[in-house]
Amino acid sequence: MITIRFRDETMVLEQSHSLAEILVMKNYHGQHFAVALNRQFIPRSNHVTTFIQDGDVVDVISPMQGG
Amino acid sequence: MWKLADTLLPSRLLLGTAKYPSLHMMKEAIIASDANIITVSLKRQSPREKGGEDFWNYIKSLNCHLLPNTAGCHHAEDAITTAEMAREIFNTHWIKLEVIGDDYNLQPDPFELVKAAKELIQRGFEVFPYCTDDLVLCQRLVDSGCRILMPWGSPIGSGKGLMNPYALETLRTRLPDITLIVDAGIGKPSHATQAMELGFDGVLLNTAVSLAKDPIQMAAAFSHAVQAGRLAYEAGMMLERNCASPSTPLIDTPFWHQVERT
Repeated sequence: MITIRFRDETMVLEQSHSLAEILVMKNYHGQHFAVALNRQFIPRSNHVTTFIQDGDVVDVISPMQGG
Repeated sequence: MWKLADTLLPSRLLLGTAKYPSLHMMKEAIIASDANIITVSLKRQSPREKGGEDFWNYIKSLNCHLLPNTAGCHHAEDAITTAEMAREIFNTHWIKLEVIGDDYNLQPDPFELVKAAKELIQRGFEVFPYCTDDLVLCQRLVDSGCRILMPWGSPIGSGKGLMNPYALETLRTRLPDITLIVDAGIGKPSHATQAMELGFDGVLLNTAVSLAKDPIQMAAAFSHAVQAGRLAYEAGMMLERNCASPSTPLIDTPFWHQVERT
């Protein structure tokens, strides 16, 4: 069992998953977001090869208004 | 038309997308401004809202060039990470680089700014640095590879206009080949005109439009103001002088021999 934080919510998983799998589980399919793992940007091209470890923190970054 | 970062654009006004009463109002104001470039930002999603989709759909429908910013960053490393995320989300290598050094007046940190600019240019970004009007800082940014500089007129959101026209004029004189855009502090259309009359290539603003009583009408006013300032700069303005000089030729007017009173 591993425990991670996804968008400030606790997620308990039976095994490690790739970032791409986690995003699908959480229903993220669009293009207009980016992902940070432990505050480091993970490019979309690396989502499949990046595996989540116990204690990881995943943030989803989205567009907003700005000046 | 003018060229900004290898892109030909009709409008010299760049407009922010924040603080509008509604997304609909934001869209209508952008249309009224004729701006071709709009600034956008990034946020971390909270558990309660997925967010960003409505805004995304609005900005997509505008067909403007997007200029993402690194608002909220205080260190070069954070700004670089934010820029990488923005490149992926917005599919552009343009980045408005903000690295804040003081939270009271949101003054840029010149040391972190140069550090971040160097690294981002190496990574293939077109960097639009939000900077102060300090000449040496601006020269260092140019040395780092910046082709565009965005010095402040005054602190962000203050509406104070151009606090130091001398410094801005000096930048124009000393950096004739660099694209200069006044960013921040513009409060009313006359401020934008003044910047353009100094020979600046463009003006970036947000709050002056979004917090106006009628943002759509104010956006149109800024469009005219920027055009007026640019036309005046290109036309070449008369030199200021201390003594009066009659506009109407006085010779042979009915009383041209009138004796001056002493």
